[in-house]
Amino acid sequence: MSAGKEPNPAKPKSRVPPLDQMHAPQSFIQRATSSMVKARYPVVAIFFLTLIALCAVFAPQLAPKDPNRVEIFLRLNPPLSYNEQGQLESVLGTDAAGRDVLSRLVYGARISFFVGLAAVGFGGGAGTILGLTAGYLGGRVDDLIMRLADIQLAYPFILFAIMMLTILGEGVLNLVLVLGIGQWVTYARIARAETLVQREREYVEAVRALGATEWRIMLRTIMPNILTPLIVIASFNVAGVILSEASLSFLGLGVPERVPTWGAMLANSRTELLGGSWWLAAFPGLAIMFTVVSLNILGDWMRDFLDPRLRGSGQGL
Amino acid sequence: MNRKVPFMLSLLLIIVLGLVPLMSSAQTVPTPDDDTLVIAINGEPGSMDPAQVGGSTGGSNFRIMMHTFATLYELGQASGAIDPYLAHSFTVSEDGTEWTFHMHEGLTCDDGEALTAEDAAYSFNRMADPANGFTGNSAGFVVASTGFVEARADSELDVTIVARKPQNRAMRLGLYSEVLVHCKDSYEAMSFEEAARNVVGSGPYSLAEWVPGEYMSLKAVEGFGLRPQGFENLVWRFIPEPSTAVAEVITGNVDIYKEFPASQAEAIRNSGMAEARFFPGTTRTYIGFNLNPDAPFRVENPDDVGAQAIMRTDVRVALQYAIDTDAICENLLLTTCERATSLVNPSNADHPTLEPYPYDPAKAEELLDAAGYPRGDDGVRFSLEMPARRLTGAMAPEVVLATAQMLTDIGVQTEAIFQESGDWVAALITHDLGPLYFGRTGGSEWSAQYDMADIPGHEAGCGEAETNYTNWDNDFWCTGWDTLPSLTGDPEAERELEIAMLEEFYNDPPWIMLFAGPRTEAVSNRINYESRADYFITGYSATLKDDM
Amino acid sequence: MHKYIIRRLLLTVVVVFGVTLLTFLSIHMAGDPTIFYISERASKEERLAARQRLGFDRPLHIQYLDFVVNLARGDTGTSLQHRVPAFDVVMERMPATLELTIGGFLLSTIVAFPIGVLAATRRGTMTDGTLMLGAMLGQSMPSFWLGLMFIMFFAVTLRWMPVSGHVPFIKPLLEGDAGLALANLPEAIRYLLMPMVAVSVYSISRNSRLIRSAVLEVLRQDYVVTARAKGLNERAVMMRHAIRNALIPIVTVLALQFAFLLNGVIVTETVFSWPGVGRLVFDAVSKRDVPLVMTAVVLLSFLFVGANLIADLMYGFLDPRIRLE
Repeated sequence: MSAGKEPNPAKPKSRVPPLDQMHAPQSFIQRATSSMVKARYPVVAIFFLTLIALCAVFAPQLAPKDPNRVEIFLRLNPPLSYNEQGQLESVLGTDAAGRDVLSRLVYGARISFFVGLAAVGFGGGAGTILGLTAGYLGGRVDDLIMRLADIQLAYPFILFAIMMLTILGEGVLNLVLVLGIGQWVTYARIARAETLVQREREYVEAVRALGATEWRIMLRTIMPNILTPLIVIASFNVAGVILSEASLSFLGLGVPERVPTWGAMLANSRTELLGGSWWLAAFPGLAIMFTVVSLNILGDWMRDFLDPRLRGSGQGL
Repeated sequence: MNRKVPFMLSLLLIIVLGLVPLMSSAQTVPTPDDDTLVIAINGEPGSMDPAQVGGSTGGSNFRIMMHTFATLYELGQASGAIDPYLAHSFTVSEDGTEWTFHMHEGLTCDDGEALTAEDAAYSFNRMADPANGFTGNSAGFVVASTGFVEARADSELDVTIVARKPQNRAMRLGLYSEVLVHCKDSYEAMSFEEAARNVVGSGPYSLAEWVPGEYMSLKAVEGFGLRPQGFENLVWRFIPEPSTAVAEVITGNVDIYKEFPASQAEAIRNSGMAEARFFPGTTRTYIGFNLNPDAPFRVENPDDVGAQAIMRTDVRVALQYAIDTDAICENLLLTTCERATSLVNPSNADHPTLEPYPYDPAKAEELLDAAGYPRGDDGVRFSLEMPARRLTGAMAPEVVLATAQMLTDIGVQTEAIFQESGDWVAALITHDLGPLYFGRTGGSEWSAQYDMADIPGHEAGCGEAETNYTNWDNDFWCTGWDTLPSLTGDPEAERELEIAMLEEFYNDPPWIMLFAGPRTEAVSNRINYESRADYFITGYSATLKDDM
Repeated sequence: MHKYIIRRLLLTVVVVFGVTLLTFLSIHMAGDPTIFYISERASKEERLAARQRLGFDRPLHIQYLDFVVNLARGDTGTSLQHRVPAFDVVMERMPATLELTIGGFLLSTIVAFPIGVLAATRRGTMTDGTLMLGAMLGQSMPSFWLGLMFIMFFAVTLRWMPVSGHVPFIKPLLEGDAGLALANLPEAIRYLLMPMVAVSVYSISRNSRLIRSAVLEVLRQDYVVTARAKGLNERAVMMRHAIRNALIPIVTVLALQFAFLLNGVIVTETVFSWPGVGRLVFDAVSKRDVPLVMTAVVLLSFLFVGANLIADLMYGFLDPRIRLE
């Protein structure tokens, strides 16, 4: 549940690099690459995340079986089980309904990734715009948005999620919506704080003097300069959202049964664990673990790299 | 400040630890011992008012209240038996509407008040009075199913219960046996709020302690002679997560846990602490066809082929052949079960002419082709949604998924949709659930008509009758149901009509008939306890084994 | 300062109002709650009668106003499931939830501090790497899964720990029976341990990473460099300057952590049969027990707002430069 905020210890002081420093594309990519290689771990993380992304994209080609095919005669087969003809039946075993774990895992990458990115994209996008608007316009708008944020913060997220999913019913988009709404306050608060600092800067004054509209100033001038901390937080939040999905699955909420997700696989494994079917929990658990750790490594690196004030404070770990 | 904190903390810890030996009588989580039987249940009681059993409000209170309250007769341990309890006998009036129960002498309630016919009459009238707003098994089910009018005390020990119509005797006796008897004076003195939390019982056990969310502890009532009291204390622990409950069984903290997930049987046996029992149950498990023409899925999608297709009898018959219940029971429920031929439990259903539909997918496909629903280019004839709940045992998700797969295999693409229990029930009782739904309904071993009561007759509107969740509107059935009461004097004719009705059900099926759901129960090795085929757990009958 | 607190309290009223309105609208959007409180055999007429009896036939705004007016008078209504005042039902379970959250909060703070500080001072070493890898792993496991693993390993296999259950500590304390509370303490802790760890592993991991960065940030500040240059020993530098200043950003997040833990309890309470509010509320939502859901939401949002307020006050207390206006 990622209702809390991702740590950003240097707050509330600004730590945004000057615009010109970030906008030299060639050198930026080069610097990024060399910093990443130097830190080593982010490379591994990127590699793993790419692998998962490939699984997600090519799931129909990669999955050995239909992930929803129920085969009760093959139920709870352990990994590397062979059929009577001596052919490999299932690589990572089958679940309580005889569905192929590997196939579900591969398809699950789609949803876990999509839900993670979409929820953070939605929540982060909405939160940033609202925070920016609040910070830039101030006054009543600011009050209204910040009171909304207070209400959201006083609302236990999981309760909110339960209520919303009860009303909306299960569904991937509903889940994205709910998890996204759970996130926006974090972004709004940070975006607002950053905007308050930026709007007093000279370059904003200059653009304003040139007669730019308020919206143009907000979106074109200020937004690029407040994105850094938000992007860093987003990378951590994707990980949090993947875990939230698992918890909601445990409560029987979330996506429909036909849509395999790692969280739901893990949650449904619980009745089989005492029976010794370890593979039902181990593989989705490992998938979640590797993805979340990779995202965190990447987030750490991004913070260190994008944020000169913190650069050099970690080895990526 | 930083240095002082750990110091203060350790000082506090030392003080606390120092005080511990001085303390006494700490509370603990109750565990089994020679005097205490611990039973785990997943739900927890809402109200403990004896007029509010089962349903949303009662939660899982019925199992517990069978211990704190007695009934006139009791649904017995042995299959099909209904045993005398507070009453030793009963007589039925000529027209079959008035039943007079003759109660034992010298009965009392927990508070010492004498329990007489007046109290029994009060119990029936109180739960049935609409002004009291009770729901659940007594106020809803029993009142409606018996056509209850009123109850009156004829004398100190004779209570008469009046119904609108005569009814099959076994059925009526069974239904009356579900009404919990409580004392008038004590319950009249209590507000509804007080009655929800306090128990002045009439059964073998009284409420000793209720820790909401944790457990309820019952104590044997001294001098209660009508039933055994194997243990001095009965503790009901509320453990929502089945795996946790099984872990408690394995570690010897729970003696009885009904409906454990079948795949955990091995772990239970290997622990050496408990037996993992499998046995036939009475809960009828089925796939319902919602035939309600006004159901939202039909109204909103008038062109939905599947929703229209199942309105046809030949399609519904065809689908019967698609389900391999033997394979489901053997592979998923790890036991065997008998496929149902109707809505009646096999133990009641002695219908000589009916053979269960066999598993024959080729025949199913043939019939669907003949019905005018050939496979399309994608292999699909039509699609259906099947709302279900995530439950354990015979309703486990894998069972639901397996049936959906079997239907899909014959070209009827079926998607199982798991819903929150409350939402599922809410749609069910308004006849809006479907087009298919995976359901279960409690059954009996003592009366075919009890099981048949799910689909009452014309008087209640037949198709629209409240519990006819499939909205099945079959004239023969409904007329038959209305005729049955008049045949109570002639058991042979009654039986004949029952069989004819069940045949109609078989030939024009509103359900895909599956099985009476097999049950599982983990029972500690230290006790003697006979498992029940129904929902109940009769903790009072458990005893400690001699060698323990 | 007083003005600030008063303003915050007023704000709380606004927030609670908003939260209840949101809850009220959403629970009613999910369909007529009456259907959950009638017999399965109820006829249409009986359904209408029940609707009237429960008051769900009135216009929504009237129902909501009624709730607010009653709330202001201290009456939260009767739980539909439990048939007793909703406030009592929630308060019965609040102590257990507080035990779990406060325990989890203390644990996540106490354990995270040494880990974070150690990792920061040993930056770039094996110790740092191992601790931070552990922290990342700790952030990658859902709490229900950890809980079940604890049960299987520590309770079933090793038999060191009880599987599930609860022995009260805060409840007797609130009832004024300190002796009983103290007597219960050892058992209370024994039962609390696994759920507490399961609910707080994520926070421990997150906090240690946060503390590490905060300490690193401070160590680079001029005053630390100056202190070192003055020849103060490393320990004094750490204690007097680094940690204290690192506390400022940390405290804000820790308070939010409390709210975060409250979120985590629903799942953990289910796994460990913990008699808390989380499970109760989940159940109440699924059974549309409107008065109970509303009451629980009001009380929980007070807790959340309270935690946030304390965080802000601490913030001002630790950093005198911040004036709360």
